[in-house]
Amino acid sequence: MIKNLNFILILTTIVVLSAIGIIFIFGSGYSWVQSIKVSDWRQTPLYQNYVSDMNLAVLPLSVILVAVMGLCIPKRLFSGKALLRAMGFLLAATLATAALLGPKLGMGVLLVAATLIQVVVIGMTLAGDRRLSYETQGFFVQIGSAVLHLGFIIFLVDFILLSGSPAHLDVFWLSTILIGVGMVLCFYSAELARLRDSGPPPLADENK
Amino acid sequence: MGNTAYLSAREFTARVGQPLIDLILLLSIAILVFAVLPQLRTYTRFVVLALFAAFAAGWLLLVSFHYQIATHLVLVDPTGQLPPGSFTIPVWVENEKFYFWTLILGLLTVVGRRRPKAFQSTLELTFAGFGILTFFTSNPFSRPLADFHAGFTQYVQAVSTGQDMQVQVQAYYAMYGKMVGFYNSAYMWIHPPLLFAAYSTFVLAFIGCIFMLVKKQERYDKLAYDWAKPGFILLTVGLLIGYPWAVEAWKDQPWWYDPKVNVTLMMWLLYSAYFHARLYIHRRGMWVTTAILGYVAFLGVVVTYITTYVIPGIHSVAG
Repeated sequence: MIKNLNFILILTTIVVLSAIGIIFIFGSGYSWVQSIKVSDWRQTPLYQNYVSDMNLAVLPLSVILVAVMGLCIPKRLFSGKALLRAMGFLLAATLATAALLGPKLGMGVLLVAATLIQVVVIGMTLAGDRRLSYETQGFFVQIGSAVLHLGFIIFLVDFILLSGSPAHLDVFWLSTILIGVGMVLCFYSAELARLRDSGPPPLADENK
Repeated sequence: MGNTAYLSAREFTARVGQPLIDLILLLSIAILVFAVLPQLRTYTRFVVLALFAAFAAGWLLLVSFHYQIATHLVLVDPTGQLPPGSFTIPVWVENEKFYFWTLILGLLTVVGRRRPKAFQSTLELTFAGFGILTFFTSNPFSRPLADFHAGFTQYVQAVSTGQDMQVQVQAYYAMYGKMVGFYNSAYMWIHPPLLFAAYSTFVLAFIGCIFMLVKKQERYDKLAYDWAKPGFILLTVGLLIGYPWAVEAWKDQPWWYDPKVNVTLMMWLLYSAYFHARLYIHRRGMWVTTAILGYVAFLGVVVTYITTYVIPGIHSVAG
């Protein structure tokens, strides 16, 4: 059941990512047409309307993407009914906060919770805790995946909650480093494991 | 000011570069011809190496021209308030961009080992196609650094002909702004080359995806994946590094949802979708989905590149 849930979350991610991509293409096409029809159109109110419309089109899909990512995080820590309960609790907390304090803070709750869970997941992965659940086997791919997702969550936290703050760019660089390092660890896990195992002392086997 | 030395270096680059780009066209056509003539096919490898050597030689010529600019040209403030400045222009601006992309693609074409023959042949043909496109659309030797040259010439004319001080100051600040925010910007040395390197690896990933559907063999999926991986890392880091630059350079102008920004994000999202799909490639329907996402994502690369020249916007040279 959990395997299917993972697959459904991945399929949802693919559909949402592709859909946002298609919206961006439409946006560029519209922008092109307007730049032909209206001179210096970026200085006109039409451009502001275009930005608002794009926000309106992208926002629901971004919310789904953030929700899916937020829901992907607890699956490392929990399984079975506990996972469903954790997901339900996160979703309820998000919706309740969104209803009471606005969608931005609602997303913030989900992202901050996801950040905290992901930090715990990274700690447990580093400690070699076998209770964690990953689709892939091997230390480097697991820690890479965890660091990469933490980077993306922090990136979203930065843009949703900290965009006007003086810490915005510092947090941005932190997320960039985490994303870059996470990708290298994730994509080159087998090579890194070979490198590690070629020198003393030998550690656990790394599977691709 | 060293303007004479600059002009002579520019003239030299055009004079030596033109026969090189002609050679690039000839070698590119030769690769295409050799592909349809079985008796000549064995020589293709040598022609591909020669084509890469011609590209590399041309690039060294451009490097030398940029070095001459850095050492000879000085931008002097007519009011004397700001210290004199020089231009350290990276070798991937204006019509050098596609040349640089093709150069990296050429490198990836000639250094590869133990690739399936069909894949390598397709890659060599693609490299030749890029060579022909370079000749017809992005010849960096016909008018070396045309925009930079136009701007600097305007400044030199304003200063040397003793025009009104206000005109001199305007011409100076027009060039000074570009020097600080664009030509000499540290971001300029990191953001574009990472993206062009990514685009080059995506060409190989795209060819792998084509063979995934044609041959339906795992080795082509692995090839596509192996080349999409470094591309995605370079693309992601390159795009992220572009963000602080955008904030710094376009702070007073609206740039969010700019056409180039849109299509670049689209490209990233599609590659991200490709990687997610590949996690379940052995599930029913996911092999084809992954390959098609690989195609569409590469189409995103092409659209992103073309957008710069076609759709007007803050990140474009069109309009």
